[in-house]
Amino acid sequence: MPASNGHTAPDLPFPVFQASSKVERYLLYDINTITWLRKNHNILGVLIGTLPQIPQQNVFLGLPLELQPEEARLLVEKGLAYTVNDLDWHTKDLASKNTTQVESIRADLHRDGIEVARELQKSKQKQTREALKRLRINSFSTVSSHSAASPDPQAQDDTPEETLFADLPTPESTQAQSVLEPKPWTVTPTISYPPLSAPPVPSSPALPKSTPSSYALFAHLHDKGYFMSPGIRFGCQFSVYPGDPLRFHSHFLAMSAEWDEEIDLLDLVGGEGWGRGLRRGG
Amino acid sequence: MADIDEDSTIRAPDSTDTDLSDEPQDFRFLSALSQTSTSHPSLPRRGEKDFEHHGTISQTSTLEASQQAMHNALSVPRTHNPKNNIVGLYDPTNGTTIIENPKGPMTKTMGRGDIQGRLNLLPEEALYLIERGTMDLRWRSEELEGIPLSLQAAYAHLLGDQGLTLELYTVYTSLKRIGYVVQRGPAWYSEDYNKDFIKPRQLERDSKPLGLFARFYNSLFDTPHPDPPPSGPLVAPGLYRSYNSIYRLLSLISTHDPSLPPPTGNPSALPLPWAIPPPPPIPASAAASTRGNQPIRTISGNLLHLHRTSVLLSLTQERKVFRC
Repeated sequence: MPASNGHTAPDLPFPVFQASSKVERYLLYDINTITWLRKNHNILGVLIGTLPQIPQQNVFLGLPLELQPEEARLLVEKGLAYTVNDLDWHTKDLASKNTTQVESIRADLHRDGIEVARELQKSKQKQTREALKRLRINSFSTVSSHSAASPDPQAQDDTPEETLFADLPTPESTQAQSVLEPKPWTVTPTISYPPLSAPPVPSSPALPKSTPSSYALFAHLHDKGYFMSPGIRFGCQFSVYPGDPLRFHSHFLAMSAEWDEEIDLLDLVGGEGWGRGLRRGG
Repeated sequence: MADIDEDSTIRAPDSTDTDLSDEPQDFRFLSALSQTSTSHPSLPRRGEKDFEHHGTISQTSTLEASQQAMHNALSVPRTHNPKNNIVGLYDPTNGTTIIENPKGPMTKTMGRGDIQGRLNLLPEEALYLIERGTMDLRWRSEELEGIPLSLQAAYAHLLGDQGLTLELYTVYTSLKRIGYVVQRGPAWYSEDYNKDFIKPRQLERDSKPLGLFARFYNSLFDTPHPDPPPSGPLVAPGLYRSYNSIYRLLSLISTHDPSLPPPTGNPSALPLPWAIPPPPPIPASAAASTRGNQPIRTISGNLLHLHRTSVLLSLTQERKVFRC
């Protein structure tokens, strides 16, 4: 169970993907890495993708997860992660694949597709069976209530399961046998590695760029055990949580400044106004 | 607010504050939602949260459950039924995406068709269709025949293509997710938009030429009244044949007409990246069956909405404003 619980630690250092040299953003696609970071390193990031289960809404978002530049930088500085130019890596690695490797990728995907189709068929059959069962019980209970005045209601009540299965399985089991092997579905994988080979770890990984003052603030608060999510919609840099925001309200909003930087009073008042409105400390 | 105890205000979040996208959401509600959702899933209200750690097992286990729910929700794979699979082909050499056999509602408002009946997709459209699990995008090359692009590969190849930044894409998807039809706006094709934002669609009542009788009637009765005198009633006593002429006299302050293009102060200030086309005109039969001026009101309402959205878009280039 622990493996499926999302406790699996990724191989360190793990790659953080910069889509291409044109896009200076750091993305994570592997849900295991994301959950692990959240639980063990207080790194939240921001989900930016669409959830395929419920795509027409903006409340629950899905993969990929974008790391704030400060988060990405912190991970690289701690030696937990390294940045990878995703486009270059894909192009190079795909070009280096020979036909047998491609063939095996294809076979893997085919197997996954069959797996998905089988699972679906199974759950469908289960649903049908349960629906039939419900139908049967309902009709039975109406029948039994109708025949409540009959001489031996007790005996009937004792054997609902038997009556149910005496009738039903015959058509159903023949149906299950007659169903052919399902057509394989196709799956869009979320991550590229595997099947591609892991991106090479550079000897001196490039540090993600971030403003010095905001990075210092982030690193300090992170060191104190806080969780930070972007605070731009409250007029600040970070909203700071005492624990995982899934469970905890944020305590305060934070904004960074250089040592001798003049602080605009309007920024303070603005941030304070937002924070007050949302019951946050300043 | 000042006389209320600070601590109590912190501890008691206002339950009437309902903007769900303001807070990180508890994915436990999503799992409850997706199990029961068959036709129209409604979004859950936010859950109760705690102020700080109090070291109880209950708190820890609730947090665990939330994290697990999030993990599970995000692990759901994008699968495609072979029966109605929309297969896209991506050509890495020139960065084009085509759907050879377009079907389904999503493809109706996207892409550009060509003579062979294929649909050419822009990078943002292709990426969005993959992300929402609608399209199965595969490599269009002989060696990689039939192999799909992963979500990651699609992001790597399509972002940055044709100047599509992650900011632009985030705005695009958030509009698409709440159901708008979104097309590229003036920022992409500046030469096509040398005038203003979108050319406002003429309202039906303006474009429709009046019939002979109506013109005759108007020439008889709709004579413009002289400007009202500096003092005295706005509507001078007299003969009025229609309400419109009275309304015209009553309007002292010129109103905002959302169908007009916004005034251009500095045209180069913030080019608008996305345009939301107004809804298609109401068919004549439908308009006839609706009583009164209902159809026109609908159209102007939509136009107003469109205008608001475009203002919002121009104000919020900063992407995080748009995000949950």
